[in-house]
Amino acid sequence: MSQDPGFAHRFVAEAREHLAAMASAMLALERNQRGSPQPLIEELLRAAHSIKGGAGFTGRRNIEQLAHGFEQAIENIRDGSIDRTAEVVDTLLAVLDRIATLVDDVDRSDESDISEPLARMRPLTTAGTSPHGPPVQTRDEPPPGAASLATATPTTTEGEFKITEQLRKAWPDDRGFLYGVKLDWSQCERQFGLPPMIVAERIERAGRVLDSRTQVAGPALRDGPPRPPFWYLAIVSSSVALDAFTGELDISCATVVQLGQKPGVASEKDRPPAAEAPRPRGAATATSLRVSVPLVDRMMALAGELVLVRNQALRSADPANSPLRRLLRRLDSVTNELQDAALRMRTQPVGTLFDRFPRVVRDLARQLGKQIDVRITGAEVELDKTILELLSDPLTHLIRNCCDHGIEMPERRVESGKPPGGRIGLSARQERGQIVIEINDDGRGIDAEAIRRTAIEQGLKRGDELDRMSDRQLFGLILLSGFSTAKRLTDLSGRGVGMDVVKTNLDQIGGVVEIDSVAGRGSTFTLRLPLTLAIMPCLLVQTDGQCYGVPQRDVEEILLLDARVARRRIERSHDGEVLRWRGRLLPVVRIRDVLGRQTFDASEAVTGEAATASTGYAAVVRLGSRRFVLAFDEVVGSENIVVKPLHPLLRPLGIYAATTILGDGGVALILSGEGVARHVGILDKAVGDGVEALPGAASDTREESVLLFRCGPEELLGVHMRAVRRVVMIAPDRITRIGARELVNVDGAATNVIRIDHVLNVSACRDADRLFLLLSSDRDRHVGLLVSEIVDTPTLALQLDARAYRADGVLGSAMIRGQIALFLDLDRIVRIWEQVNQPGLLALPDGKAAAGRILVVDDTRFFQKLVAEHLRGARYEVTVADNGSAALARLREERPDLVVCDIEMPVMDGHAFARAVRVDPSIARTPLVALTTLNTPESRAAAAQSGFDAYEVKLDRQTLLATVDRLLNRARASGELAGAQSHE
Amino acid sequence: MNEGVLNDSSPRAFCAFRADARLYGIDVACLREISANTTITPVPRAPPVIRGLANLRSRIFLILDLRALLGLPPAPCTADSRLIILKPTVAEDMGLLADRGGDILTALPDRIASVDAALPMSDAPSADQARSLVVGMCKLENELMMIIDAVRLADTVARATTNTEVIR
Repeated sequence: MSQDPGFAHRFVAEAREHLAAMASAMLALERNQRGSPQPLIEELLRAAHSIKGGAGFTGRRNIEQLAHGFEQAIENIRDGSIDRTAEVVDTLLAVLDRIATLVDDVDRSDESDISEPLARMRPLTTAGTSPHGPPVQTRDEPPPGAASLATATPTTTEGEFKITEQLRKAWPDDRGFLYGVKLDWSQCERQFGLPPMIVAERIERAGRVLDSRTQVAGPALRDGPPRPPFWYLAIVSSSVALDAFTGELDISCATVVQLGQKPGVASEKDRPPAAEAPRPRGAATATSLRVSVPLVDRMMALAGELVLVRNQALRSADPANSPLRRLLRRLDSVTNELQDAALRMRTQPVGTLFDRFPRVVRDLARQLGKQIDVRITGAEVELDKTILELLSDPLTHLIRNCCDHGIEMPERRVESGKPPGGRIGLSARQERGQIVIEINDDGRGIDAEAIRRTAIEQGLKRGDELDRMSDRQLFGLILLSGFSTAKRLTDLSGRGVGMDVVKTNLDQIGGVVEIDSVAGRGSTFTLRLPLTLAIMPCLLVQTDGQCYGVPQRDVEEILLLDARVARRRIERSHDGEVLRWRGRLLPVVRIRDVLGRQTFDASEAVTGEAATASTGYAAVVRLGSRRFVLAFDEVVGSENIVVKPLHPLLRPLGIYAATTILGDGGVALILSGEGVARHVGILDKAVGDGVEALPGAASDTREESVLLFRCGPEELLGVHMRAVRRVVMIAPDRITRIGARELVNVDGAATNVIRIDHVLNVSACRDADRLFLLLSSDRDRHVGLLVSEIVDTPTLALQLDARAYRADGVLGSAMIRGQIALFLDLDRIVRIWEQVNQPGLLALPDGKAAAGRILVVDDTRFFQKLVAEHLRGARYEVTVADNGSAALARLREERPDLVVCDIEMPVMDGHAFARAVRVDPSIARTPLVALTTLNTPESRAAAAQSGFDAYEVKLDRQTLLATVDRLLNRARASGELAGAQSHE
Repeated sequence: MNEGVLNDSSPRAFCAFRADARLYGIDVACLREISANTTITPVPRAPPVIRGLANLRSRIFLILDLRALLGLPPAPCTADSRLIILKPTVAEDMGLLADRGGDILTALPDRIASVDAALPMSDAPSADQARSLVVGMCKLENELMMIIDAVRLADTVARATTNTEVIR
């Protein structure tokens, strides 16, 4: 009737919300047999009434009629004239479904035949009203409830409301006032911007509508659309006096007349009645509004563009122009916040999805003759709308599966000692930047044997393959297409589509599913989903000159694959390379092999040598509980990229998840971890799960505590905790300047302040109200590094890369949680600073000559240098060798006082070296210290057996120094200091 | 084929471009824009007709290789190369990489003849494919321009992509 399409949209949107709320209220009403149903009934009536009103106004007769019938049925339930039996609830739910269908195609809703639902509902609607009035009416006659309203003449309000006896009975005692409200729907909408749904809600809020009617003046419908005014008349009961009621109503174009007052009712003046909610609606309209999804998407896209502009600006800004850089940093943070806000606009609570499942489960349970209860937790967790939509099918499927295959028949449950009613739990929570949705049941669990049998029958797996699989992997097979263990196909989960639907949809949104089950006890399906699809934290990597993104959520760790690591940790297995990683064997996938090389432009072509260069990086990619190693050439960085969907024609390739635009305007492909794994076929292999522990293999990478901090605003810096004695907080105004030096009082001792930008080429320490001083672990030196912010103190396995950033005082860089951190050699920094500021101190302490001469043997240049520097710092003279055989030559020639030696080395390893030393009388007494990453009792015993005097683990400087000191003193005491002899 | 389009009586405008020495044209009605920015990110494992992805004002387009479509050997991009971007109604987010050209020229319908499959073309493997794309010939001053049906172009590529078994 209303020609305004916007109005119809609002009606549809609001009707959908009402319908969803009504369905859950119906279910609650059914469950809640004993408790007071009053609030639920009120809610149902209000909602039905709103839909009726909106449908009436927009001229959707079918919807109006069904809503009206529904309303009557609920009134009859309220009055007790019909019972809340399951059949009644079934019927009413079916009516709601029908209304929902009509609402979905609202423009053609009146073309549909609704005689069936009306007929089905008739016993419910007539039960109470038949004594008083006619059954459901057509529009041209007044609806049954309106029988109490006199035929209104639209120009007057006098006498338009007639109070019948029936109405008097319905007038509740606690609402002593009776009002007549009259308004024109079209006037409310046009002049006051109040759509009928809002008007109806305000009326409901102000009091309880006992009777109401919409009247359309003018020609009959067949003469064309009617013209305003569209009068609405309502008889409303309320507990407040006229003024308060009018204020509560807050519709200025409505006329209100008082029709009656119960005797002895005191006017409650301006206070809103306690029984009514204190105007939540008013608050809600002020703080939220409806925005169309395309608009939000557009905003999201624009925020994304802004990010690109920002990146380009940052890149082209002159580093020396600090005001500009400050502005850009500000732009940077504003952009981030904008993006974040735009992102949040897209999210919705998962409850909007979860809410439908009690209904689904109820219907299924009735159909199957089971008793199933649904428990929902975490409905308030927010998730990207797009993900919610794509999640609907997989969740429905899983829930159906639980009802159908999981929960047993009541008799069966009782036999096995369970309560007859089954339980399905549905929960959502946020965990590590992901949303985790869990569906569990207390049913019979998954029969692993049946899965095995089916897998073999259908030729999906061989018996020996199945033997190697863990339970979880076995359960994972049910996600394969065409897999069904159900003994019979039911209407529910087995209609030709299997659980592969779940997997397909989840793949699409970058989610994973894991299945756990205990036979007889139940099953749990765990879905892990990204928070949003619009922005994705990505690791950007480079191979053959092309940049690719790897979703950060898939990346567990980044490893440096230099020649040494590759030699020691990569092995060839029967059908590919595997890498030893924390006691597991992970398959190695080289991006180059996956992508092949297919470049047309000569400039893009890569020479064979570069392509086969042995050093590179690798990411440990984790997909659920499976891992593999993805090898590539370079790490470009880590960024929150704005996801652009993959062109549909590229989707069949399977290995890409999306695309993005880089800061330089180029396009980068985002790899799908899952797709890559499937492409190379490792997901099917037993080795692909990465859970096979290596027998006796000790973890190669030691976890260590590090301190992450910032000095200037830009770099993330790190030091080993061992290198730091203490962190103290200082007030910047307490720093005293003496000449070129700055000192601050720490524990009563004047302590030198090192500013990092004086030593390294990094940004200067920010000014702040409070700063921190990292005190060097060397107690003799009263120095500390000035730090503006302590970020974190994680314990992790560091893979330091010494190549990307080379500078004296820097150990290397490492990727920590997607950020590149520069790791400092604090001791070295202190000494560099001293050379500049306290040259005198470098002289050896009085009386002591060089403390001794040490040979450091290590095949890794990085460690060689690190250990040598450290020992030199402790006033030793140091020479180095790359392996055992070179060391042996040096030892014979130079006769150092002591040898610090790695164990695992090429040519001649540490054991062979030690044995060779011990059998050569000229050098046999030289103290030997083993220094290695291995730390097991076996390796210690082996080192002692080979002839080492001490065993040190890489790299604890203080204990190494102590050991060296101890061994040298012992050697000196026995008067056989090799150095002394050689000097004579 | 496409009688309705080819037998109109008003002059028609084409975007003319070249692959090797040959001149091809696409009806300007199918055209979104022509760009000289030929920074293209290759898509490994995609069929050869897909040259890669290009970013034009923050929109990502799938760029087809005209040469590959016509069965010619691939060639690197040069300063003369052009991206012919198609209208979304013709093919979503899609464009063509041509060796050079990009000028708009008009021709009266009497200079245009529709062609059928018997057009002599190269014997390269995708000659069939190429033949099916050319729906007309236009006689110019001193050479012939082959008119390519852009809609069919998009279909051809869609088929090529879905038929490509990803090689392990």
